[in-house]
Amino acid sequence: MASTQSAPLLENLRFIIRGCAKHERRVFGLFALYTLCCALLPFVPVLLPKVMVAGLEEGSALAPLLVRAAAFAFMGMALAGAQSYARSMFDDHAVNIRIKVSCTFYERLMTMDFCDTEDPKVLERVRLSQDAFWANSIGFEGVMHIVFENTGRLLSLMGLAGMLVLLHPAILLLVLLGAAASFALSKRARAAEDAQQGKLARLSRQWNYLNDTAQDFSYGKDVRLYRMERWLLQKYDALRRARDGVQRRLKAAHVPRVLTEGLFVLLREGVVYLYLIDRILRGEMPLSDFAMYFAAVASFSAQLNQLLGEVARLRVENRRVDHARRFLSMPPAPSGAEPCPAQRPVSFRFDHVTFRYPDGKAALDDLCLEIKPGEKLAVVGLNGAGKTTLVKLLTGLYSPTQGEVLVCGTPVSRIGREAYFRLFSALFQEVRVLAMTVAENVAMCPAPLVDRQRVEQCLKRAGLWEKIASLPLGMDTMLLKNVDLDGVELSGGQNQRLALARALYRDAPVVVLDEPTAALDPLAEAALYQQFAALVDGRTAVFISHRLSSTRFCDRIILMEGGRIRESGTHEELMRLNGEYARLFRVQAQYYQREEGEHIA
Amino acid sequence: MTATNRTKKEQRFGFRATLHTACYALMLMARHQPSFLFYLFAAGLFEAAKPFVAVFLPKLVLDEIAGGRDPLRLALLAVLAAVLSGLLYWVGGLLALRRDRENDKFDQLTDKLMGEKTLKMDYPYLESPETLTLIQQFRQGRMTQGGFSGAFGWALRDGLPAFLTMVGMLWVVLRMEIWVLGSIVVTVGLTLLILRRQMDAQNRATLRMGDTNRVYNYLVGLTIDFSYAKDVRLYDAQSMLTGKITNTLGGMWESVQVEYRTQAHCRVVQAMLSQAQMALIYAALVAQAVLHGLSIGDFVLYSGAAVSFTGALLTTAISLMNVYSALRLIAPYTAYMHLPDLLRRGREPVPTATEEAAVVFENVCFTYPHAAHPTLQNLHLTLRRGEKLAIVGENGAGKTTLIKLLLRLYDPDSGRITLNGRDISALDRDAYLDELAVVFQDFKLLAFSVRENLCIGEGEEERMRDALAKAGMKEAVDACPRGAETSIYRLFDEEGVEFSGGERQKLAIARALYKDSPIVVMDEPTAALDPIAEAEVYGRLNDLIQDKTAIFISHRLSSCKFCDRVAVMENGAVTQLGSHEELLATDGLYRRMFDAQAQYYV
Repeated sequence: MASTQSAPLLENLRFIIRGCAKHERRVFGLFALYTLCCALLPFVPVLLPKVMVAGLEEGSALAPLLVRAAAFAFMGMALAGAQSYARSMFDDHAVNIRIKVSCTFYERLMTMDFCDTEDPKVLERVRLSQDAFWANSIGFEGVMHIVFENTGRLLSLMGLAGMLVLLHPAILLLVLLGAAASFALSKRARAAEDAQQGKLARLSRQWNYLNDTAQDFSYGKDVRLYRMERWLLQKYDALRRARDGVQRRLKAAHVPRVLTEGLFVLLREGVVYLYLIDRILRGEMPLSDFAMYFAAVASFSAQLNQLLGEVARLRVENRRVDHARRFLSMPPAPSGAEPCPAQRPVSFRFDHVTFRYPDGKAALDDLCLEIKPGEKLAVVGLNGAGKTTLVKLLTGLYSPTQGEVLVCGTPVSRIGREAYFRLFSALFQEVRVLAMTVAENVAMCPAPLVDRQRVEQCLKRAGLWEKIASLPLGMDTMLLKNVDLDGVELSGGQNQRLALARALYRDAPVVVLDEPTAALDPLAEAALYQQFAALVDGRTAVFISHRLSSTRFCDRIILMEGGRIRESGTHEELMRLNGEYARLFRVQAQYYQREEGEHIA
Repeated sequence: MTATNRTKKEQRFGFRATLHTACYALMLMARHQPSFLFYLFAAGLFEAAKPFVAVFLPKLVLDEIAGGRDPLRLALLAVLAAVLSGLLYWVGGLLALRRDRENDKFDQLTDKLMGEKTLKMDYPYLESPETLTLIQQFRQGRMTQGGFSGAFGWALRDGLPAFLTMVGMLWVVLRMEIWVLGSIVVTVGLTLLILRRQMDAQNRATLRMGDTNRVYNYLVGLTIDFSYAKDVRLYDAQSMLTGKITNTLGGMWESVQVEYRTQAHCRVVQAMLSQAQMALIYAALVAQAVLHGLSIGDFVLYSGAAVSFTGALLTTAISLMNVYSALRLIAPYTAYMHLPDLLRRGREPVPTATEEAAVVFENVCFTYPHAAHPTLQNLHLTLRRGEKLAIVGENGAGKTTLIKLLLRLYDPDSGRITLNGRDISALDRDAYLDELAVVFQDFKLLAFSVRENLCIGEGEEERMRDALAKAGMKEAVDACPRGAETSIYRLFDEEGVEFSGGERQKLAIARALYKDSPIVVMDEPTAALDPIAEAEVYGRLNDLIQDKTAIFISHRLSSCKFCDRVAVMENGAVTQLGSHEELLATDGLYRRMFDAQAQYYV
């Protein structure tokens, strides 16, 4: 598991400091101010009682005592005010810095190699990295706060330690010993936690799955029909029990710590009381010191415990930052530098292309394929034959494991990634509608850059304009309800038309259609085919489909099987060949014979 | 940035709703987990006692030093102080560990209860934007302030002992002289005023952040949801999304700057005030000591008590504030848990089959809540016992809605549906649902074992094997390392199997077969299958259905050939009804649809 890797604190701190320096340098000044105040402020409540009681002991007059109280008040107010100011400003900037750094992270997610987005190892790293930027108390910002708040604490601890040494070095030693014992024991408890960590994480994941599923409204029909509620509630209970069992063990691991800490509290209080009483009885110490030293010892051990707790927290948060830093230091997606060949229509050549998934499974096996300029190619085959992999290689989402894809004679690997992506208009079976305006969904660029006339034109050509025009806000209507609760949700067919308009707006020289009509009714499907004709007109096009019907407007059909091309030719040629294609075709065609004896082929 | 406007759909939750949520949460604790209440208070009590040892024992020691100076008594006092401190630490610490565990458990309980509500509530809620909004508001609120765990685990954890300390210290504080008391009252009053201002600013900021946060979370979610990765890359969407994220954040930043500044000012003033307060208390006590005489022991007691009291009061107030805002943000939970029943609940047993007609839709009309147009209009349809009926029509013609009404997921607005002659809404729901097995178009399998998915729990071995065999999944399941105990997906089981789309569809069919109900409904059962697999399913259809009554819904008219009758739906009513051959002979929608598909195969 990635979390067992060592997480170098210094390197991660450097990463954070670089982020601070880049986005908001003022935090360094605030840090200095806060640390100074933090170091001094704890002495105010320690010294004030001493000064007051000493005054009373000496039988001092009221006025000088009030003056001293006032002096403390001013000193305390100045320090506390400055401290609070520095803290507030820092908090404010810290959010800002974290968010700015997180933008780099999110940008990276969108540009990382597509192949990595399907790699479980990378996905795990992404999941872990995500936490680094999620909230202000954890990860990147968490470490910022821990360092910010505890440097001053460390300084004030040193000052208080000096006071304790003045009292008696053995008392300091006792307190330190207690802290050391507590630290060692909490380390042991944490080790127990780490041992359960995997189990706990798994239980959390399962809990989240169960809870998300139970609350996922799209499961509602199945849940009710199959009366799943009892079953799922039993799962809830089982997981809850399992988690509580782990929690019990985790908490039990803290029991020795609590007991030992209590013991040291007992010892410390006893020793300090007895020692102070003894000194006072001997007349070696004024009564006023009694209160002061008490406050000092209490403050010292409280702050020391807090500091040690923060060290433990730092360890956890540092690990999160580490994941994020490592993710961001992964090499960017491979990309060539050359521009795309300007030749139109575009041609492609697959030259002995093999593609293996990270797990070593070959999805394409030594595939050779020529797509001529302006050719309309249909790719058919059963599930798992490698059709979608072929499209991903064609569009540059995957890079071949062996062999090469060439566009107009130039290897794709030499061409700039984004320039290459711009060659394609793609339509997939699942339309990814964004919770933005219709216009933004069609143009896929920020609102001010949208060519509204062209959006209208494309919507008209895609046969969706009537629907959009009927909405009160027209093409400025928000889609989906994720962002705007009044957003509009289009039907499956309308979404596919929206995707078509998107492809039309893009106006790219190559069109890729990956089963775009699978969810549509026959009339809608037939109508959409008409519109595809307009989309692919004069362009190179690749069309993937289960349903062989759709292949009829293509120049050539290839049938894939086991990552290779098994048959290739026009519909008529393949039917004459009487091979796998002909078999598939007949299987589907049998349902559409009007009368007995009207067999095809 | 796109302006997001709040609408009437989004309920506002104010003081009453928050109070209701607090009471509801306490009720849940009392009913389901009283141990949490116990440990919460017990741990709080011990935590609250600590300051008393720190305040009273020094006084006793100092009094003894000033008075008798008896070494033995002093030693006893020292030991008493040490033992009390140690005991409080031990017991308090152990109770706190247990309380934290209970808190974790309670958080899960609230999850479970909400899940239970969702699993059991009437289906129309699941398709209503209001319900979805409630859930979203709750999740957003929980993320902002930690939900129940934030309210009870954090805020109340500090607040409760502070409150108890405060009440206890009041006993000492009230014995002080009037001007000492006065200085406490004045500074405390000022502090509370400032806190209130700070809280208002914080609430305003949370409110303003709410909408932007939703946008931000959505956008960030898009970058992490890799099912968008293809589209994002091929359509250069990253620049648009990055731009939007930056803009949203910029907007968020701007919108709360004023509130942040106010809060920062309040914090500064409050930090200074608390220092002034401390100095003032000492000054007042010194004055009392000098002017009226006060033993050093009492001085230490009073000053300690006053400082402890004001500190506890501040903590109580802040904690109350946090509890309040955490609960206010999750008030949608309470509203969600109290959504009332919507549907008719009959109690009658299912009548035995006597008539030829199994199910009859009589003049059924139905309009979805908030929809402008009816989805079903005066629909008449008879399903004969033992027949196979295909229902076809364009997207949006009302096919799926018809199934939803048949399943009593909705009640018809008018007209009625009968089973064996009885209105289905009069029947006991569970018994009625036993009559129906449906494979939905968007069927869902869960990440548990194949067996559990089929049998919805334990089940019968023989029947399960039979269902798997009929659905054509027996070989595939037997080939898995643990057979029917193999988990679907890898979430609960490292050895789980990711079945393909086609295999999942067959499993869904097997689940319906296992149910062995007299009426079977298949809504696009072959959508995810390739031609060969589709042909295979159709090939064994008679095996699957046997002599049961069946309804098929499909876009691929191919399935109609196997059916006894075809019903064509248009605009919420059945417009054509007859056998495949009869309908092809008639000029109508059916023929047009068939031709549209068949043209590619001739």
